[in-house]
Amino acid sequence: MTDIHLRLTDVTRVFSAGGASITGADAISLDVAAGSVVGVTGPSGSGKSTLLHLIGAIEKVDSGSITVDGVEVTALRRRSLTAYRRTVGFVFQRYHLLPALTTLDNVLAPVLAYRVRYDKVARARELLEACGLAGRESAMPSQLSGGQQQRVAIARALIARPRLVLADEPTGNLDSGTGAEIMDLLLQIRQQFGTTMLIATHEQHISAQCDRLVRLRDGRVAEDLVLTDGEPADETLARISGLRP
Amino acid sequence: MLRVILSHLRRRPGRASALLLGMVVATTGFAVLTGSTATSRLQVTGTVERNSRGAYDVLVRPQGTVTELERSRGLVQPNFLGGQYGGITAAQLATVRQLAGVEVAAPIAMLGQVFNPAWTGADITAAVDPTLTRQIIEVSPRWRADAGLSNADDSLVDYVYLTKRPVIWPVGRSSRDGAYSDGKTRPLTTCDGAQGRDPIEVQEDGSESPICLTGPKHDSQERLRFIYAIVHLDGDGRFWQDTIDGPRSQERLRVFIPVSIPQLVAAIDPQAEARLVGLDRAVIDGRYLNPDEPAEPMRYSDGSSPVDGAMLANALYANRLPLDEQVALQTRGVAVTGLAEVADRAGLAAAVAGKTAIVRDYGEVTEAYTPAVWATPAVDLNPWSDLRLLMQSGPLTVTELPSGELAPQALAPAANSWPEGGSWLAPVPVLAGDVGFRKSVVDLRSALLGKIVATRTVGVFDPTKLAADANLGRVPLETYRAATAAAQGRTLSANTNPSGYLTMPPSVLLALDTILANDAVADPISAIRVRVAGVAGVDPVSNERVRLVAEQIAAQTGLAVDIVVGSSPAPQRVRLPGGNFGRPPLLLTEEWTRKGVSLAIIEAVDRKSAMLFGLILVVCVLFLANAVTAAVSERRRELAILACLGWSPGRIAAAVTGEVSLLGLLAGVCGGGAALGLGALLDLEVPFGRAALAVPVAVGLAVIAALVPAWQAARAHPRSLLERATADVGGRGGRHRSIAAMALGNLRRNPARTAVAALALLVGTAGLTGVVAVNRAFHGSITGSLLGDAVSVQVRAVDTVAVVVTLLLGLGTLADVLYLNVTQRSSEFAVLQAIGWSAGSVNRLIAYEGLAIGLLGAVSGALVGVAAAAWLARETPGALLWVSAAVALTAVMATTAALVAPALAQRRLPISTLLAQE
Repeated sequence: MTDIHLRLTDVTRVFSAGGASITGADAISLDVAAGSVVGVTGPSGSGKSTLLHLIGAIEKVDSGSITVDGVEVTALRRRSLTAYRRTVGFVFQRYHLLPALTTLDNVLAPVLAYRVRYDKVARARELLEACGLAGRESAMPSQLSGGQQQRVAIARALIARPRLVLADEPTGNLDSGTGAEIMDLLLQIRQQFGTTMLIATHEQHISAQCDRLVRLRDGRVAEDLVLTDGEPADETLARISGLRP
Repeated sequence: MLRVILSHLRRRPGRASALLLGMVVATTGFAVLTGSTATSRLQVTGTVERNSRGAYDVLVRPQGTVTELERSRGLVQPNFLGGQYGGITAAQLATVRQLAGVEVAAPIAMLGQVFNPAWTGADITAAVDPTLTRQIIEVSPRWRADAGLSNADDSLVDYVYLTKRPVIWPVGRSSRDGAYSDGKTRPLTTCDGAQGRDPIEVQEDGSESPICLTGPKHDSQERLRFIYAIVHLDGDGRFWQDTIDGPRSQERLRVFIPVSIPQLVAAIDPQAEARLVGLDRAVIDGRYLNPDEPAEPMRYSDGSSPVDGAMLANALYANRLPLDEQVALQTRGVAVTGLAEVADRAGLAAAVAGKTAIVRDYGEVTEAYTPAVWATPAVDLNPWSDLRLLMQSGPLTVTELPSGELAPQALAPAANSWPEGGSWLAPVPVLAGDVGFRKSVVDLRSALLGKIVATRTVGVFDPTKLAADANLGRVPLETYRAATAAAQGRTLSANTNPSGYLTMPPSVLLALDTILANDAVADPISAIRVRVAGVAGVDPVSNERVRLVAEQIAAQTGLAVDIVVGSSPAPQRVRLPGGNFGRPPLLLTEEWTRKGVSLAIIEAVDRKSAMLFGLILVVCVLFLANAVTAAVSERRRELAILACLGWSPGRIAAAVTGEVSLLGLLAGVCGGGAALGLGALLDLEVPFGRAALAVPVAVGLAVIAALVPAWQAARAHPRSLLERATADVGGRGGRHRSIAAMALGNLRRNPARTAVAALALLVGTAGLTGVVAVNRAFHGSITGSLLGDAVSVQVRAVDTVAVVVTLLLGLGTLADVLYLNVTQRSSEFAVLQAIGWSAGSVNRLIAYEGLAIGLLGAVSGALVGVAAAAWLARETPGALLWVSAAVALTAVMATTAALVAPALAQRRLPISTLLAQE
């Protein structure tokens, strides 16, 4: 068995809205191997984003624990949480680029708040090149297409060399062709850097490319499928198409 | 529409409350402070044309000392201080000295006239008949004054008994040992039934007869005045007289007449007087007065004291007295046969009466009036003044005749009010029996000076050496100038009549602190002469500086002030009534002073204060305009929907304006109520009418602030509203490789909002810089020239309050701008935290944005304030730069307070929700 990179144990998170309680995560337990790409699927409101936010320490758990590389994230204090977040790359469905910054500066944004030992500008340029955006460093987000903006967001997520990337519907705002390109890019990055990835998606052709598929329903893990390595995509799609969305 | 407006207000109670608070603060401040724009202003009428400046610029006197003639015609009599005794306290002097712009404040306390005993001598050898064995020479003094127009025969005559018979003189008369100049001792002599020690005349038969020392025994004035000299004429023609050192002979026979030398005693501050007129440099003998001349116990040589606890005050004496008075002597010599004829005064008179006399007139004898100590100043002689009899002569009462001539009111002679007994040293001046013009009050055992009973000379000054003396002929209202008047080709001066028309300047000066330390009277100061700093000459700016100081003095002390600058000699014709001693009625020409300007305290609007209060409203408008613009921006989508639903542009604009106006109405009501409450709490007068003014002011502010955003919202096409509502807030690119650079970039994203915050801060900082600059760098006031008019800016407490309120509103505007930035860019802050920024780093970003605006507003505001002050004052003192730096630094530091609200807002951001939002 490959090293366990991420472990969730009975992670629970309940929100209150308008007097009602909404369960975002309900005793979720999950082990994720290092370097694996895990697709998180499920219908809207099933808890996909909540799960990613909990793992990324954007949300606090009500109970349970999350351990990353042997460190119990849920037990970290505020300052350590910030340090932890710097080891996690986030990719959002709406890209969330900073509109006032250029492409290059957007990629650099995570490392502006602290010192790094490497040449961050050179690294940002490399990442942009790797993401197919060479020559667009000075472009403003408003001058980029959706796919390009998401590539910038991916480059930004990788600037701090994270071992864990959390992508929340990375292709949700993109057409299928562009979405496929983005997924290829993510897989390529995993290939290149051995990054563990959790990708929340409701698109089967995206989830079919993952190593493992976790389906959530009402905050619980409804299904947890390991997809066969080397299995043709069509067969994988056929295998998971029977699953209820 | 009202439902829509109310719905919006209810939906965002926090924002509505913030806007309400800003407007309440502004309107309350405005309503309360505007009450203080009405201030007392010293209005100057008349134009200063004479290019003359005396030793001082402002004359401060007690209220009520200004004569009617001065009020109506601006005429001030010479030596006007002579009739003013006290009225100003040491505390009022201290207040004047603390005022900005006061370079020198020199007090003078006129204490009154004292009369010092002196003797005038005359050679009457020619009156002697050398053939007579015994003779009496009657000496009749005649006192002359008013350039010879007044001649007063002394009712008392003096006698010299001259005998060729040998005279044996008593030695050591104070002791009762009976020793005589021939070395023998004798029993006491008996004269008029009283035993004594009298000279003894040796008769032809060798018998001895006492020459009785006759004269008034009980009438103190006559005792002081009456002289009976006993002289022995020896065979060599030498005249022998008894002296304190025993019998001495001289070739000439001299007679000495007692006279009273009047001295006007005043107390001054030696340091201030030295600065004002250079009195220290006019000292020609001895030393100058120290500021703290302590009074010392007074002791006679035998150690006794004239009064229990009597004190002696050190004094500076003038070396000359400008007295117009002489004494002429007439002698009548007659032979007498025996001593019985001269045993008493009646005998003496009888001896002379009815006999053929040799009459001689010795003309004027002037030396008495410049005794040795005055003519040849020598401190060693140490003249002293008995202060126990102080005569205070009041001011003249002068009326203006239809002809324009002035007529002083004649009063009873001063001699009539002389106390019984008078001074035990000096006789009542004969000329005190002349017509008086000043009400004289004799203060025996003066309460004014308490235990101080006499002076001791420490130095002698020459009034002609005073710095201002060079201008005495041209610059009026000087302190040490002798008053003169011309009539019939003669020049008249003061004489020994204390209530005469003309008075003397002060000639005996004490240190004021000596008087104050004695604590005998609370308000001894008669006048304060003030020299104003920065007065270069007679120009509009200098005049304004003087006016401002005069205004401050009047406002803070309640004393009467006069601007001396521009005053000029104004010869007046004075109808002087005839005197009791032959002086005919005269038409005098006297050098009065006409004040160059007349002053009036008026209620005026302090335009500078009104302007500062207006700044509060300006910043409030900026604050509101920013908030309304942000609200419109946030609700573009909503407004677009309304437009799509058929709302007209006017209705949309009305909705935007109405919302703010409703808040303005509420703020106005709250502000008016708060103004009334504050007024009651701080004991300020806030009439209901002015408090009610808060309502239209607040609504007006709201409407003004809403105009532009409402117009923008109304004129846009619904589609553009929808488009803009969904568009990202753009940026301008540039390198943002640090948090600070990102902050600057963020500020450029909404330059209008940044400018509003910076401008609000600029206005507040500029006001504060100006106020602090006036207080610190210009010592409380700036006087300068603005568009050709001299203006002065003086900071009052309300001005400070106004600029502080303005600055607070400026900081509130900054806080609101930052708060809006945080709330409108909340998703960006959420992203930053999601990608690894700590909350601290995000706060730094917000802080940098705030500090950048703070720096921009504070530094530019400080520069504007400093530039305005320097421009107005036409100078840039070093302190001004420090002031600007300090205020700018303070304002920047104060911006940290404005960071609290946005920082708290940032901490409360629902990051997860924001990131998940579509």
